[in-house]
Amino acid sequence: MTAKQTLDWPRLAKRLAIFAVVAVSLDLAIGLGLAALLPHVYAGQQVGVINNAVDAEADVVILGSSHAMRGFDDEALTRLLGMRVHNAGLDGRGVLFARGMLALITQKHAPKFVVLDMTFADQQRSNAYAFAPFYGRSPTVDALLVEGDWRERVKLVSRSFRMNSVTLAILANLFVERRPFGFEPATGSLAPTSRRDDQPERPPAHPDPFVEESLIALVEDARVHGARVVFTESPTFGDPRPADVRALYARVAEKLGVPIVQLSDEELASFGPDQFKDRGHLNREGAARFTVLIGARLRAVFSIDETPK
Amino acid sequence: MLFNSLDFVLLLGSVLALYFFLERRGQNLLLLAASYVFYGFWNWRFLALVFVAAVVDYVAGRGIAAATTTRGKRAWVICSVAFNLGILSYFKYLGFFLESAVALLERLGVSANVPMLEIVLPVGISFFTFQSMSYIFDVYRGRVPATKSLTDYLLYVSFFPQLAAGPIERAERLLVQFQNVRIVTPDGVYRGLLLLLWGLFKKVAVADNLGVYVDAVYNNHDQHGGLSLLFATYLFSFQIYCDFSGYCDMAVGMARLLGLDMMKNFDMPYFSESPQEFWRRWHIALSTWFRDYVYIPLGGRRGTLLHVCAVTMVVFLASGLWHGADWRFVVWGGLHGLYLIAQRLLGVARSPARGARRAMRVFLTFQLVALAWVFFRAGSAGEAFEMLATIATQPGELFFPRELVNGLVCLALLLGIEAATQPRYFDEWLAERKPSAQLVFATAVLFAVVLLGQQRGAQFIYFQF
Repeated sequence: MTAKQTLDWPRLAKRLAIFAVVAVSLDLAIGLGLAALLPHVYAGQQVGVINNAVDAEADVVILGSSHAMRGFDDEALTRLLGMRVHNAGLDGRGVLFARGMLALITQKHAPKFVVLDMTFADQQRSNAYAFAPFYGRSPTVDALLVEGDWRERVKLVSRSFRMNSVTLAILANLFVERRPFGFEPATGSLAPTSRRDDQPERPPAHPDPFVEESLIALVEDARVHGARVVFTESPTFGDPRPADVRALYARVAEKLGVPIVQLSDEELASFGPDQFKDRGHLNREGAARFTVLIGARLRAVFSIDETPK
Repeated sequence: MLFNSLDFVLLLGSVLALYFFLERRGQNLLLLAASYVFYGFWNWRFLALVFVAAVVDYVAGRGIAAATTTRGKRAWVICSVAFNLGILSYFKYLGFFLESAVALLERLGVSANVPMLEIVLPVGISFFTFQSMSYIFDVYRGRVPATKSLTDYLLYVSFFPQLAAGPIERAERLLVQFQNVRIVTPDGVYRGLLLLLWGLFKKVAVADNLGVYVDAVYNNHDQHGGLSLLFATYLFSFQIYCDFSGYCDMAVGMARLLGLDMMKNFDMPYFSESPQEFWRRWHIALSTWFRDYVYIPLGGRRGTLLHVCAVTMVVFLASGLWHGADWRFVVWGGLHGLYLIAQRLLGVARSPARGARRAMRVFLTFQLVALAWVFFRAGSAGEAFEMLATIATQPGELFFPRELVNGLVCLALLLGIEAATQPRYFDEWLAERKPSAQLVFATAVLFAVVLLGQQRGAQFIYFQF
């Protein structure tokens, strides 16, 4: 560093002070501005999915990851069950997200049923970060975000930081019309290389203990609001969920008396490769078929006697 | 402990708060303690390794200085190199060589029952052993005197801003600074802060954002077509650049806050016109290490063309192996060796070009570098070949998640700034602008980090080496 010296300490202090003032002011302005725009966003993942789910005021809420989002046609289920169904699944999200989503939904409207499609996407607690824009709106959401870690609390003091990674999505999706349903079908079908049966078995996921704790808390939260909870398992192509994840759900289901709704082995075997987008996800055709089958099962579990519309 | 974590901000803040009230020796002890705390956060058990490695080379350096004959000096060098390569071999290469030997024997029809080792790789081992070895070579050559202070030497080997991923400093530059009184200047602090911010932007806003896409594609390469694989390869080229150079910028920036000067490890390498120029601008510390301690001692440019080509290839294969114990790194190094040999044989790009000709050269060089990155990033050399075949034959659909837009916007900002500032570096260029322009730039970069940066703090890629 041989450049000539142009600063003295007072000038450096002045520059840093000005920078700090500008940064804090901008942080407040940007954060408040984006927070004001937030309720007008109904498109895009994260914020769009959350706002749509909260405003749907549905009787049946479907929660889960991409398996739920791509597998449950909520419009068709609404007709089949004769109740307003909303699919609030989101790619790459797990139980933490489901719990936060339910907390925001129940602030406005209490659903009658909560369907959680088996998800194991919670490798890290940071999965709850999708709720950062909603920090301060619900004690459950705040607890999920902060996790008792002072560092997270410090970061979330910044109002702009709460909008981290969703800023462009908010601006791009402003004033797009609200979507009545959350189902997003996957297109395409299984690649020939993925159709082989000699694929290795899915290894255990080793879910962190917080996943089980969150799952129990989710069921209890739902029950506090008078909602019944059901666990489901959407089909995969020769690629079932890890055994330890299934065991976890079975354990919680037994402990809390939650029904697990699954298709029979014959029904599962009847799903061919043309009904999958990839080994983990149904495509549009597969989802349509699965919705009819699971709809009938849910009707029975929910004890709905009326004829489907 | 990552540079972009609050834990590290606390550590650095505490060090800075005490640093200015201490004398030189006290400052060195403080930095040494901070360095050990920093390293201990990963795995405190390896602190002993860092300590012992430094003590061995400190003793070897004293031994070289005390030896009266060349033979005696050489014996100390051999002891030091054997020790350093020994710990490197054990922690980094033993498992690889055993696995390769077993595979070879099985191909020859011999079944070998060798237990596979699962040895935890100490963070930054390749960096601190190479830095320590450079001291031994320089003492042997008489370029630097052997230090008498164990504290100074321990600090030279473990200085926290560059302990985990370099730059690999030389004793004549860094150790000498620890031996002298440091003067912290307002300009140094200011430009240090600018570099810290710039490095943070590169890491959090560009590298980590692009990394999400690259991981999604490379970790499921059999589910993606050639277009996605090609796009992910280009993005990985920028991810690894921003990840590593971002780390180095932050390291240099922190050193400036402490009144220390560290080398520039990157010089906007993707604006290179040839593979040879690329290696003058990419990971400069490692390139110059291999040049000074391997290439030149093996004869360098002296000798026949065949000899020069062979030495070039040896250096690049070794450089590949330095990065990791896997054949894919060897192939990566070998490819770069081939590029340089081909450039030499064809006699192309010997002098700088301008305009469209320069743009074409920069484009072609980037393609060659990106091709080699496929091997660097893939899970294995076999996977890399499969991916290249997919790129060449099955374009498929382009996988484009919406979240990628954040990373692409930040990448465009980075490339725009680098194109505007080159050949000077960001902080040098910015320090010469009006204060108001500096404020605007610094604020823009800060808010790009806050609003668009990836907050799931990913490890720095080069920490694994």
